[in-house]
Amino acid sequence: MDNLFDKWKTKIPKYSVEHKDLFDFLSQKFGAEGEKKINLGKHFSTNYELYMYAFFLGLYNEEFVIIPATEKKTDFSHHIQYWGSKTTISVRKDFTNLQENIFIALVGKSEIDFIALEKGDIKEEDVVKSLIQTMESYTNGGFILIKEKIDENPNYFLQPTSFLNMILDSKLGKQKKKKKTI
Amino acid sequence: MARKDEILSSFLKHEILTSKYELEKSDNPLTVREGLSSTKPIVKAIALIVDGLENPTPITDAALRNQIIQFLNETI
Amino acid sequence: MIIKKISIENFLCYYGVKEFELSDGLNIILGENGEGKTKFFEALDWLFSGDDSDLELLVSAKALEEAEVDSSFRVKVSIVVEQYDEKKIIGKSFVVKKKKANECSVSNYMLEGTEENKSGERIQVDGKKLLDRIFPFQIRRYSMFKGEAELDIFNNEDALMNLINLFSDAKYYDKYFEKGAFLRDKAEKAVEDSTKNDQKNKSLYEKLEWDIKQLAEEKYKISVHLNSTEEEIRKLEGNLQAAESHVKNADALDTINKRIKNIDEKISDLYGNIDENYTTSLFDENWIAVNFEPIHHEFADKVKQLSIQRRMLQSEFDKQKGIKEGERKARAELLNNSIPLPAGIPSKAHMEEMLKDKICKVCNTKSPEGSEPYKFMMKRLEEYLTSQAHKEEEAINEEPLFKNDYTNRLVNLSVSHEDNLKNLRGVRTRIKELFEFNNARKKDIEELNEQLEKEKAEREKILGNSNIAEEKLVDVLKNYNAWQNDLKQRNKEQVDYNSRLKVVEAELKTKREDKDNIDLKSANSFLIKTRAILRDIEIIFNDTKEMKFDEFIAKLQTKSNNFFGRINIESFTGTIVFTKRIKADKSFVDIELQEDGRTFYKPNQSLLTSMHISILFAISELASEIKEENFPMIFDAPTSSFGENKTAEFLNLIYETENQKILLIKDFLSTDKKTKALSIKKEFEHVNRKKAFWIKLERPFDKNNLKTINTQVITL
Repeated sequence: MDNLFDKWKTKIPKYSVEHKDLFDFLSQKFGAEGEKKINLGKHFSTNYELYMYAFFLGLYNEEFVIIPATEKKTDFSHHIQYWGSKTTISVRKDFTNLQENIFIALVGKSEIDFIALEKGDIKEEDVVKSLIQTMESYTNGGFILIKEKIDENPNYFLQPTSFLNMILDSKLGKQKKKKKTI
Repeated sequence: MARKDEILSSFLKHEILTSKYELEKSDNPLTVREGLSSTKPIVKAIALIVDGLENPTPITDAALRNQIIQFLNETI
Repeated sequence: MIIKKISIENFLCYYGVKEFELSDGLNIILGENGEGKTKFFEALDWLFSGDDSDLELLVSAKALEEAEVDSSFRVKVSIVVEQYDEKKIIGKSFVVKKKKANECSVSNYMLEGTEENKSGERIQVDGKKLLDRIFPFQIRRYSMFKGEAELDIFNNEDALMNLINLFSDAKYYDKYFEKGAFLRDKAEKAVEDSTKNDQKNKSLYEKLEWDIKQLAEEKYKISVHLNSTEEEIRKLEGNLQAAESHVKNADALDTINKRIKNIDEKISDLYGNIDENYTTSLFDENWIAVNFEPIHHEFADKVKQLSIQRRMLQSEFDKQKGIKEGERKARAELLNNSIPLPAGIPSKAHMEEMLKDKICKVCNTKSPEGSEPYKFMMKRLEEYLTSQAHKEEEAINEEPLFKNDYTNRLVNLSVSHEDNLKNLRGVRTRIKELFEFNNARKKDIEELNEQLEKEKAEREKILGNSNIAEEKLVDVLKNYNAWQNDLKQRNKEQVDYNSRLKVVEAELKTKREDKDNIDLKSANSFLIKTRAILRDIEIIFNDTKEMKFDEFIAKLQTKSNNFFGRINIESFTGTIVFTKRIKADKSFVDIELQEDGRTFYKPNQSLLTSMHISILFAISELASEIKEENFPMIFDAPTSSFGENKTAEFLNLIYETENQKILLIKDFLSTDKKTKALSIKKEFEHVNRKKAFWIKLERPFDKNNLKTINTQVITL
């Protein structure tokens, strides 16, 4: 059976170097858990967690911002298929299942001619590229939102609830709330 | 009782002899001399050591060791 | 051995020959401070051990004054003792020649010994040897005391070890301890070498040896840390006790401290319960998917459309190609030419079930055998089964419409996530609940903190109601809280070290067992048996030695407490406890005063003195038992903290103990305010003693002029 998901997982998405300082500030390359994370003052244990967060933030706020061609792109050399794997870390739980959520979102949001793919008219590689581009764009949007927040209030992220709140207060979150009250 | 006999008696009172080696307290020799002719290897070994160390001219380490090992070699 | 007579001639304040005729039992020498008590003691000290430099400084100033130029006189201290029914005399002396006023020259000293046998014959003997026979150095050490400060011989770490070597059997067992270790060591090595010859296990074995070495080092390090932490704890507890002794209501303080501790623990637990790892939970608890439902629906719809479209196209394609000979992937025609469901839906199992029960379970209609619905289902099942079978005939030159099938997996993904939606819906509630829980705990903590403040204020009040000066009190309070915090920290460390120690010891045990197991397989069996016996012998030697040591200490403890109880009758009811401690592989013994299991860290001077005197009496009794001989004990003012009544009682009690005792005290003397004359109080008549003396300076005297100093000895 052909599996787009498996193919997509092997990729490493990129981000604009404009946001490198966010990574330095908020997360720890190669990972820092528990006490170590606290000692280093990081909010996210790993770089990919920050990336995932930015993606969902951008997604929920419908902030789709393609990385301009003028900006250089970089990555943190960690394939998507490993994101969320915490089997060696006792204080964390495995969240590899979130990879599926990301994939689902990308398929839903990307303009892809699946029939053409099934017929073999377009290549699998190209579809995956398109999905990755969607991913990078939402993530970029998320980063911009985070940056705006910091500019607005440099101390915003010092609260333990700040990242959670940004997600809950997203456009989609608020819509949901409206639905509930009705 | 001579001191070396007292010393031997103190050692033989240890519970490891009754529990692990199944020796009866009543069978314990009263003097070093008796101990040297005991049929139980560990009792005789201890008696040998006491005899060697309480001697006015104490035995050297190497000699003591040889004595014990040779004795054990015969009996075990 | 008893001292029958002490003669002091021209020694310091004793001008001329002054004699004390002593008896067995209690001899009391009364004397005001500065009138000759200490010098008496020094005279004996000089006789027994003696600093032999600066002999000129020992000369009686008055004697020098009275002597004529160029004449000589003697300075001498001697004692007559009775030992084994024989009289012996020891004297130390030197000759002084007066050069001119205030100047003299001295000869070397002489130590003369004389033995007198039963028939009265006297023989000169070597003074030093005689002294060692009469009053051996080791015994003297525990028999002569100058002032209360010196009573505490156990502040010296080696003192107790010396005592044990002197009086207990334990010292004979030391060498067995060494030899046992030596023999076992050799046996271990022999086994190890034998095992290593077997190449099979060599590297594993060497690794085990290495591990064991590392673990043993670690264990040692942890033990050292543990010991010093425990010492710190004792020190802190001592300080705290001292501070608390200033506090009137010690009980109330104790209760409050317990309550404070309790609250602290509760607060600590609550903090432990609060979980504010919100950012982490975004991932670990999948909270980040809280808004995901609409996204999922977008995807599901898309996939649904894709699936339908695909099947439709495939269906068209097949229809155009026409259905040819049988074994192709044919499809049963549906009513209205509608698009068939994908093959395999419903599943093979479901189909078989429906056929068996003869009901279409999707629309709940009966499908008895032979009916149209039954035949339709049957045909569908057959087509599905054949489509699963390997088709060799596929080699017909046919281009399929779809080269790939990504849709199938996408559909599966959609279905599986559909099931998960209900979990997503619960996320907001779970987050809310967690916030509520955390807030409730925070409120609890706030309340507890308020309580804590109240208790601490109470404690301040109690500490404030104490009976020491303001400035000191401030210090005590300041230190008190600091010490409490420190103590908490140390106790935690102690627990920590103990648990680490347990872990390491367990690991060590396992590794050693592993190593032994390899030995059993590989090494020569004679060596193994020998090693086993020698291991046991070492254990026997060590345990016996420890036992002897412990026996001695226990005896000492019992005897000490006997005396202690008698001295302190009608007052303090504590016990003297000897505890063995190990510091850096050496054994030490700590002496503590305990009451109901609680250690008294800083007893007052009076208690301390009774404690130490009891121990010394106990030692003296032990010495008598072991040496089968008694020796005198000489105390210089040991009871100055007792007060008159306690002193009188104390004296009555020690009157009853066996050895000869010579006690120099200043109690029972009073000075007339007007005439400044000294006299002995009436109470002294009621004090039991064998002999009593009063030493006082000849009046009149000028304390700045040594030449007027002359101590007189009056036998009472």
